[in-house]
Amino acid sequence: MSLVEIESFTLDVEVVEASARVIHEVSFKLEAGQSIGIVGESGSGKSLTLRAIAGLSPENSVVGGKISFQGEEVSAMDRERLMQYRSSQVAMIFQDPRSAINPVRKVGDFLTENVVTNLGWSKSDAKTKAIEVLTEVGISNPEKQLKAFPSELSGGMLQRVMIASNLLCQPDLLLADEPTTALDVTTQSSVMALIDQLRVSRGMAMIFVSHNLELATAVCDKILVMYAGRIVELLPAENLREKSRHPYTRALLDARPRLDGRQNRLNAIPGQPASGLEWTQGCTFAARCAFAQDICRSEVPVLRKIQESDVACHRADEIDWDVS
Amino acid sequence: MSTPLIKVSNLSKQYGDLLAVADVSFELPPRGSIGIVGESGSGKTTVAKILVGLERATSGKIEVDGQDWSLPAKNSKERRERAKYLQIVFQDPYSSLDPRQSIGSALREALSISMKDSDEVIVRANELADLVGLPQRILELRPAKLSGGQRQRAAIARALASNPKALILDESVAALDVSIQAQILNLLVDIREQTGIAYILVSHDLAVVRHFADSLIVMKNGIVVERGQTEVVMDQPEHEYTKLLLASVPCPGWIPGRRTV
Repeated sequence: MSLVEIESFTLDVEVVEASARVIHEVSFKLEAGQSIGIVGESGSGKSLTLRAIAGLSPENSVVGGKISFQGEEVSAMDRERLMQYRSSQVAMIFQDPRSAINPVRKVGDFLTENVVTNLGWSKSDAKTKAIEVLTEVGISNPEKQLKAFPSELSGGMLQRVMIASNLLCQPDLLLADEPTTALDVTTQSSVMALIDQLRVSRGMAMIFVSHNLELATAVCDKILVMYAGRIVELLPAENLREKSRHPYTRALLDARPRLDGRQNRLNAIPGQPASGLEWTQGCTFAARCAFAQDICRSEVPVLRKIQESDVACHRADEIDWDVS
Repeated sequence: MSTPLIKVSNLSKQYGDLLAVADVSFELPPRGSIGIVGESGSGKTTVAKILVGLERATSGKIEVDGQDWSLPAKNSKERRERAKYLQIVFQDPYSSLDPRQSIGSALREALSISMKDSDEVIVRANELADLVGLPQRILELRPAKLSGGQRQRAAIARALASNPKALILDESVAALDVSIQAQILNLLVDIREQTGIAYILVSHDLAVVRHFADSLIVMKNGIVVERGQTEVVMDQPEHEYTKLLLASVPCPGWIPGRRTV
């Protein structure tokens, strides 16, 4: 049994008194201790997929398919079970730590509240453990920081507090949604190193949502590329740059300016990123794809295995990336 | 050696006890491009704001095309005059465009400052829309109806309305999706080829700066710690901080937290 199994996950949202699909048939598995990076642009559905695993789909939305954690369906959890699930089995870190923490309560209250209220720890145990995890995430003078208000901490420090709060109860899965996007690059580097090191040493699995392909590649075993509410490619992280096969994956990699040399023009992808709502028929990326043919505009490509990649592209096995 | 279009000498800005910009100097040649690189609190945006008159320098000298700009514009006539030299595009076009005003109206308003003939204004507004790749029908829409990329194109068009000699890009592509970011960067290169405009690129994104700027200054806590030709600084950084910045950028083979290149 996999840690997380997602089967034909769909999400329908209410749009002006009608319902429309934003996530189309997403299926993948995550094994215990494994890390998957979900990458894509705005509207790709990467955050919605991540949140659905924690049972945090938007109001007025309808989840279809099956999302299960250690064999248990998330949609079947009642309120109490869901609270236990979120407080002890899955941990979450979001982009902006400042909006995820109560600004008028002290860091110590934030850290210990969950374990005291939901898991029945004693206050002194919770405090001892809080000091332990703050030390572990590299915060010096943790006793003093417990009494600090969030506004007294920098963004990088606050994100470390968020990580610490997730370590208190040994979760099996870390859901990280752009956890370092709002941080400076040097801070991003040290916070990512911390997440990576803690994840490996504790054998935690992770789903890491990011728009930054290189960052995801550096800390994940597998990369899952989403476009317009569908998975377009799933492949081992080390294969991303050289062996990815979907034209969208390639185009994304190609569009970023490089740090190691200067090119005259960037290979921009024409048009703009689509969301799952915009799908009518065929491959949603066809409108922006340099390789699109008639079949791409009429039939939805399904994920198929080509060597080590799962690719949803009608032409994936015809395009020779090595020569182009 | 051509006369610099913009020459900044020993610029400083003090906010209470905080020295946000300390003794910053640089030159921008006509048609050139310079990157100002740094993290939060480095003072890079303060420099940009001083240049366009949104902040007043505590000390230092700014010369633009040989004129002394060290003091803020005295009156609206001088402000309009300066607008013909330097414009700025910010990170978030949503907050820099008036949500109640159509894109076309915003463009025409900016153009009518220097153009009296209303037919000419309409023609020029359409030309600007073409230059930044906005379809004509977009001109009648308000910012909320536009995508992020289209909004940033509109903000660039509006900045170009006064036909400035230089444009400050303050994290102008930072909030855009990768595919749109590449479109806008290409657009800015095209505009330079067509108009000969010079750029000051304020950015935390070293890959974007490498792609775009001929030279750069690296700022930390208000101080310029390193300067030079972009390729030279990026390939052979001298200062420890520049090395740390470069080592922090995820790239193939990158390991987070590793402190040296």
